[in-house]
Amino acid sequence: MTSGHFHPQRFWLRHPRAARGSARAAMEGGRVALSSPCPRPCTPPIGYSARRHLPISRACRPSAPRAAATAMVRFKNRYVLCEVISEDPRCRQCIEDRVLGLAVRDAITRVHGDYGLACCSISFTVKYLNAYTGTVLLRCRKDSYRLLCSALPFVRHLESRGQRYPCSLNTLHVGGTIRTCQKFLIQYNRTQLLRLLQNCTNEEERQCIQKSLLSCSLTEEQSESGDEEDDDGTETD
Amino acid sequence: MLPAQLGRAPRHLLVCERGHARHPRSRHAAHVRDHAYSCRVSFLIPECGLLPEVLKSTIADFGEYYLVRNLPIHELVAHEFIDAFVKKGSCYALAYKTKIDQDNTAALLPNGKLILSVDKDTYEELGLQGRPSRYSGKKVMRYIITVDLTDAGFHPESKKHNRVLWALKEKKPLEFDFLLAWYNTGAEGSTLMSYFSKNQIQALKPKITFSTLRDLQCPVLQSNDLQGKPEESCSTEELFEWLGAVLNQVSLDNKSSSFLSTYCCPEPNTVVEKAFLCTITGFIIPEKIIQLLEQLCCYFGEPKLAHWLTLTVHGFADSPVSWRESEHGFHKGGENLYNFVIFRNLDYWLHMAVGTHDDCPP
Amino acid sequence: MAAAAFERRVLQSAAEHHYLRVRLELPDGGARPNAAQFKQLVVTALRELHGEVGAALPVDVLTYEEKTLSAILRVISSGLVKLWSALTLLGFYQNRRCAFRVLQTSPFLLALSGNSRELVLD
Repeated sequence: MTSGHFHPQRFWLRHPRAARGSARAAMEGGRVALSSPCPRPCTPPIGYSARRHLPISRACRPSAPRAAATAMVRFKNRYVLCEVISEDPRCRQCIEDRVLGLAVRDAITRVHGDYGLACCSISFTVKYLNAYTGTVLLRCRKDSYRLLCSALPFVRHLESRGQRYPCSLNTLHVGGTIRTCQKFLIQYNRTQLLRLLQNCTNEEERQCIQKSLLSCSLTEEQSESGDEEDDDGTETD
Repeated sequence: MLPAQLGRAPRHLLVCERGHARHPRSRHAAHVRDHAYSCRVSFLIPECGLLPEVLKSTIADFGEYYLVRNLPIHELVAHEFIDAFVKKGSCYALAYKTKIDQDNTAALLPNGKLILSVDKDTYEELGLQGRPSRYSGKKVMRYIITVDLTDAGFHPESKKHNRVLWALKEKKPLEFDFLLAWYNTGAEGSTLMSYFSKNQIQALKPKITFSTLRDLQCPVLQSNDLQGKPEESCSTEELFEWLGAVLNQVSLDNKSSSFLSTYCCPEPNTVVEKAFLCTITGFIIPEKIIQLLEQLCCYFGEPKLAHWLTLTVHGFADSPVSWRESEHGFHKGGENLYNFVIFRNLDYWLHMAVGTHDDCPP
Repeated sequence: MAAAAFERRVLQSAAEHHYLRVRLELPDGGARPNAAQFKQLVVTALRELHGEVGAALPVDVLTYEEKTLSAILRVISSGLVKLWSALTLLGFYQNRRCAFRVLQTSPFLLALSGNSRELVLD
């Protein structure tokens, strides 16, 4: 962007659809690992909107404010990546944005009271949720992520349609951008797959996992794209 | 765990000193003299049922102070006043019932310095030279004006004197209720009472209360060890807290499992059958406190059961200075106080405590 | 006479506890809390605003006078802001309106025994 003008089109071109596709494959490779020892087909379960299963992708980010953002002070967020662990298979059905958000809010209120809830509520959302694998990405302001993280272990059940399913949340990673969380998740899933590979019993499973393993990598096209986010804040403080 | 700003308590300082009261270079009397305005003096003598006559007469002779209503401040700058009082002894004046964090205040120090702490508007109206308050933040809303009344350049015909008089008399007349006290040695002149007879002046006596505390748990102290040792003696901070508990009538015999309060007397301690507590309230000048301190040192001249005694002095939260001329502000509590622990061998401990808007005590 | 060595220690913001002198304001008539109920009320206030973490703060009721409903509270220094805010935002005691007035606060318990702002000299 030497001219100083901002061309949304040019920006758009840097993100080929292919990049999106590969990221998706990677995410879904992870799903295999988390959900069951036996790989499953990648069709989303019936009754879930496709939106929630969209993989996290840089192309989804609104592109226009990008140029303006360099001049302004940015609100810093923290993304907390966690997984839902439950003994009860029915629990997976009730993993929804709203239900999970409510459960987390409820835990924060219990642990940190009205003050904690108010702090965490600023820009708090369930940013990404995969009901299949139980992967959840939460977002909150940087100032209050400690309040959020400390409340997460106190989530004890999810409640939907009058039913309560005991579960717990396992925090995997806290990152400054969605991208670092995505990178971490892929890495994490790959290690999980490798562990599965060792425990394989028959050839069919082995091949299936090997195929998944090969497909799960963050493609290079994205890092070449130039507008690399330098604030890849893996949490330090 | 928390956003940082929630867990932070306001700044405060506690200075602990240890020395010997008869040491030629001991500065304990200087510390008392430098702390000009005190509103309450209390002393606690363990193992004492009846006060010795000497101490009784010292307390009875604590002098009187005056309350002058609606005194225009230019009267303190007038030359008759300076010649009659400021130059002939120690003259103390402090604005009464004014709040340092919202009102204008004034104080006259015994060294002849008149200190005005005024808000921005008054400062601009007055047109006198001052400096911004240290604790006023980036946008200065409070200024400190210091006028040296005993300065050689402050004679009646000088420009400086005329300007100050004009500013305080005509430009922006300021009026306060003043607490006044005057201490002079020898030469008798006119008294404050007669000088301010045309103003509303009231002579007041310090209020004195006695009480005897029964079966008091007292910490064991080692005069040569400020920090204390477990099982042997208590530290100065523990003593300081304990003394606060005694003066606030806090019960000391709590269990650590009690629901209400887990405070208990520091270990090791001894139970004292009776302790004598005396509190003097008023506008008390340092000279009298030094006298009292001397008498308390003399208390150990004869063999006594007590190992130590304490003398606590509270400063005014709203005075514009704490020690010497160091600026004082209110912030959350405005505390400025000091406490002596005098041991049988005349070693002393001195605690000086100040709050957020204060310099380190000398 | 052995001259004692001079020693000076400066403790900066080292106070372990902070102290608050508070008064509870209740409408006339009706039950007045006793000391245990008073403490419970303080803990309730903390739990409301700061949750279980706040309710776990070590708060001591050093003195409590049922007649005037005034008390001296002791709280660990890092919890001063939490306690103060919780007391300020408490509005009800047993379904009746109430309010906490924080009269004085200090890192030194001794400072609470002589408040020059409450002094009446004349």
